[in-house]
Amino acid sequence: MMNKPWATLRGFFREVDWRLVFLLGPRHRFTPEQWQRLDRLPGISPTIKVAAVVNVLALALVAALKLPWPIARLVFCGTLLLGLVTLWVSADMWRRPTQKRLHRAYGFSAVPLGAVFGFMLASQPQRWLQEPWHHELLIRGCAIGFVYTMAIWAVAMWRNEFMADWLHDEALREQKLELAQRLSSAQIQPHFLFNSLASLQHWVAVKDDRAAPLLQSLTSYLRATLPLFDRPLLSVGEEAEAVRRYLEVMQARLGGRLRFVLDIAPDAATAQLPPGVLLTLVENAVEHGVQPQLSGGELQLRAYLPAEGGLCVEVLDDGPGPSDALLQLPPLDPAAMLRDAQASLGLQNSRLRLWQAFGDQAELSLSHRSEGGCRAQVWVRTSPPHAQSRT
Amino acid sequence: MNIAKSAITALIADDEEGPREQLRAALQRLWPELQIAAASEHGVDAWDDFLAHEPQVCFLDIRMPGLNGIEVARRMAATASPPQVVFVTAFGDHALSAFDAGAVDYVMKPVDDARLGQAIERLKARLQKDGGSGPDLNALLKQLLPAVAAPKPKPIQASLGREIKLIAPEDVIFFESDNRYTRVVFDGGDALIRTPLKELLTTLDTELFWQVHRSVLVNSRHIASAVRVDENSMHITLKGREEKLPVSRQFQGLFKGQ
Repeated sequence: MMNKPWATLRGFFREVDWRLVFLLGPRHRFTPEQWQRLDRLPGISPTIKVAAVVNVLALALVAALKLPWPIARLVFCGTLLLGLVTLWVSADMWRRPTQKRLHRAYGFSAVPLGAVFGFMLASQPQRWLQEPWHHELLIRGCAIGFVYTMAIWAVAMWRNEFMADWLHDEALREQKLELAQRLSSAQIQPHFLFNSLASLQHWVAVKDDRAAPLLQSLTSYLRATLPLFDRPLLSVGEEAEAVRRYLEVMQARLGGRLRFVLDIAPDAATAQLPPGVLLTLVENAVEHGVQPQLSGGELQLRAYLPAEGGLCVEVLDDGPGPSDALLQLPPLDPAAMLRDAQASLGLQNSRLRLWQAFGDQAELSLSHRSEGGCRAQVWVRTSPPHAQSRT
Repeated sequence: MNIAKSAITALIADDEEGPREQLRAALQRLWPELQIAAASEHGVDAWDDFLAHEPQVCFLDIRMPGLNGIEVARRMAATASPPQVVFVTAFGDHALSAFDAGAVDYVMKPVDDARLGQAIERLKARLQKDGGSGPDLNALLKQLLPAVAAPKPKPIQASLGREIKLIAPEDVIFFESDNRYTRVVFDGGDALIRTPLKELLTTLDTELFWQVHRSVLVNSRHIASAVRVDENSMHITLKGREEKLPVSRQFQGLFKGQ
């Protein structure tokens, strides 16, 4: 009880970024890979270079104003030189805005100059504080030193934040691109295609009667599947047709090992789902439910409109059942999905598509059937839409 | 070895008829003297057929029910006469990238004659050299095969008259093939079950149950000793039991007698 305010206070201070409080410098650190990426950023533009030099010249002029000529000349040159050093350091900060470099730059420039200045002041305080133009020189020197120090600091800070933001945006852009590519190329599995072609090649060579129907099913499957992903939504009936073709191909290949039943209620056939979801579930059931069984298995696809509203699609098999990891699907996290390519990629893609189309109103789950095997279920709670409700 | 005289025998394993027969036809065309001893329909059969025929060359599909191709190859590599293995895979098989190292040979489905011809040339060269497998195939395959979770041991159901007896696998002393049945000998009796021995192999803990013969699977905790009878034959005795079980040549390496 006593500890609670203390813990709150500690929590509050833990959130404070002390680097910013004490003006220590840039806060983001980048890995070598990130630096490599950051090198793709454009360099300093000519406009900025010219503007910076003009500013330095102007400042040198202002610094020398109203001083006796020989001293003015000295001040002008000194300020100009300091300004050019500052530009050089800033350019370095622009490219590599790190705390380490900032501190190093200060260590080599501002600190020695400040020490010299301080020594002069300490050795002859009377002269610097009392004599009119010496006094003027002191004030101008401090001001210029401050301006240049802050300029370097600001460049480092701004550039560091800019780079962090840029990396973040870049990562998001890449994620979006990858997601789009993965969604569009997820479906037709080369493994399926080449295995089918292997059967086909043999049956053609030996003039087996099974070649012609297999080729026809495969062609229909490809025709139905390739344009599938161009559309945001597809009717259950249309996709069931692609599923039937797929199952025909698999049945030809596996012989008696695959049996299937499609049971699509007429009112459910017109309901719409994101393309590829049914096909993915059926492919999974064949791969993990039917093929691992020595004696093969049976697969059922059912689609109906439940009494409580919405749409329900089920894919049932009589295989070994889902693994424990698939029973409790993790919360949908598109960013995490892209980070680690998971084994259940097809399943995760389907969840993502459902989420894109229906938000929280759709659910995909896997469970054990009491009679053995796996039940994959898609349940859309709202009545199926005419168009996408989310982008 | 006696390879020079007898013809070279081969085993083909693929769970799909099309690719299996395509490979068989291609092999007959390109390597007519090769005798195809068996064409297995899944991994369990492939292992059993290997024990029955002891072929020198095996063409294994990777994705097969029962035991996958890599598991079968691993078991083969541990026997007394490991065969030359060529994997037959379809595009998209995860293990493919590892094969590019050249340590394990593979051909892609659908098999094309040129690529198969290369694999055959390499096989012939290796068979002529020593007949043994070159690199440590077992260690290599171990890397390829992701750790498979140990199967949950299910009790064995055996009907004794009207009663169905549930036997915990660890209580079984040994299994023995008996025609179409498998004889289960456990602490306190024996029974016949319909599950073939070769299928039991895939569901039991291989650390505990050792296959010592094509038709014998024994609980290693009950083995008392292994006795060498002569150059080629060996048998094991069991703790507190009279039976002697044969150890076939393939599995005599299990008992090294350091």
